[in-house]
Amino acid sequence: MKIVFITLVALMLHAHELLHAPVEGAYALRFFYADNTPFAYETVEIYAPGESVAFQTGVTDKLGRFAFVPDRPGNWKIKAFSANGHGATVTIHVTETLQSQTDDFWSHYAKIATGLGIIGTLFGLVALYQSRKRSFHA
Amino acid sequence: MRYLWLIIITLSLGAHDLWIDTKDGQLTLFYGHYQSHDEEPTLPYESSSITTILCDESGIIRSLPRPLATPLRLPKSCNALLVVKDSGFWTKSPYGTKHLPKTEVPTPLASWKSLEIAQWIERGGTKALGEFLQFLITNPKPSPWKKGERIRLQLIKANRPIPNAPVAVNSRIRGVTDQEGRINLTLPEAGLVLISASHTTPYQGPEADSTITTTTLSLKVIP
Repeated sequence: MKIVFITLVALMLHAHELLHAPVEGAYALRFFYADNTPFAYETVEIYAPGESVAFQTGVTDKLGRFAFVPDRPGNWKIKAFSANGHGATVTIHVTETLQSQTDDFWSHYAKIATGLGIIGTLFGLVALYQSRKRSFHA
Repeated sequence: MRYLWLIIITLSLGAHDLWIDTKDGQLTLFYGHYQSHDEEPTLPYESSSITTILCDESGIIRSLPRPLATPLRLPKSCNALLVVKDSGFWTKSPYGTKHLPKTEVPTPLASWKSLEIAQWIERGGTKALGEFLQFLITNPKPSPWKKGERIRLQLIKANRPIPNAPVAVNSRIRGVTDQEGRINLTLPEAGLVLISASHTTPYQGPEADSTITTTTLSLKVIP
């Protein structure tokens, strides 16, 4: 019963944990004016092939750069614009299918499951040892 | 293997345009993105933002009354027209560019007052209209401009030449004015061609660092 309770508490705590993992296949863009002034801190929207809802939104950094990681091949549309009307729209053709980012997610929970399994096995071995010890003395 | 693609966007970043064109037989002032294939080409603007309208009527410069409604309709009797639009204060911050003076934005990085000027030259084009930033045509011709012809311009403000100013044709930078503010351009296509340049001066006041004035000359070019 105690083991079940500990397991539930561990899973509840993990529901709010924010995880992170490195990703591959990032595309980075730099936007700048003709005089090389960076298009800094301005809005960027990324649209996946054939979609009208943005895949990603955000702002350029201090140097006018922005990065995104496409999850499928095709023509990706990138719109960068400022409130005072400056802006550019570019299309990037992504040819490679990028690796799934779910591996890291599941490997994280696999580690938790393994840990819980080890704890359960230890409890089982202790319980077995104690029961044998009791039967030996009886 | 971890890899990162770096793409440098070398396209010129076009701003809002202010230009004059004919619509329904009338000269009209437009605001928005001329030649935009992706966005709404024209945007509404407040009539109160139009501060000055100057008309060269047979060599006499007249100031026309400010409009009550937009889009602004302009008389065809003018040899040349110049319209000034005050687009207010803008401030860049780490949270984007805000349409506010510097004094009202936390963490301001740069701020400016934006003045936009639209020019239309029907005939001539050698006479300045007021002291605003503007192009003069130094090789005027009586007939319409044709695609491929060379036009010679001079960028002036308060009757003084503006040197080293980048000049764009339809939002593409084509050159820089010389020490006399002069530049020679080839008209690249038929239709309406917009020639624009900007000039930055310090702003006297706490609301902004500078005043950025942009002038756009609209020319009808025939094939």
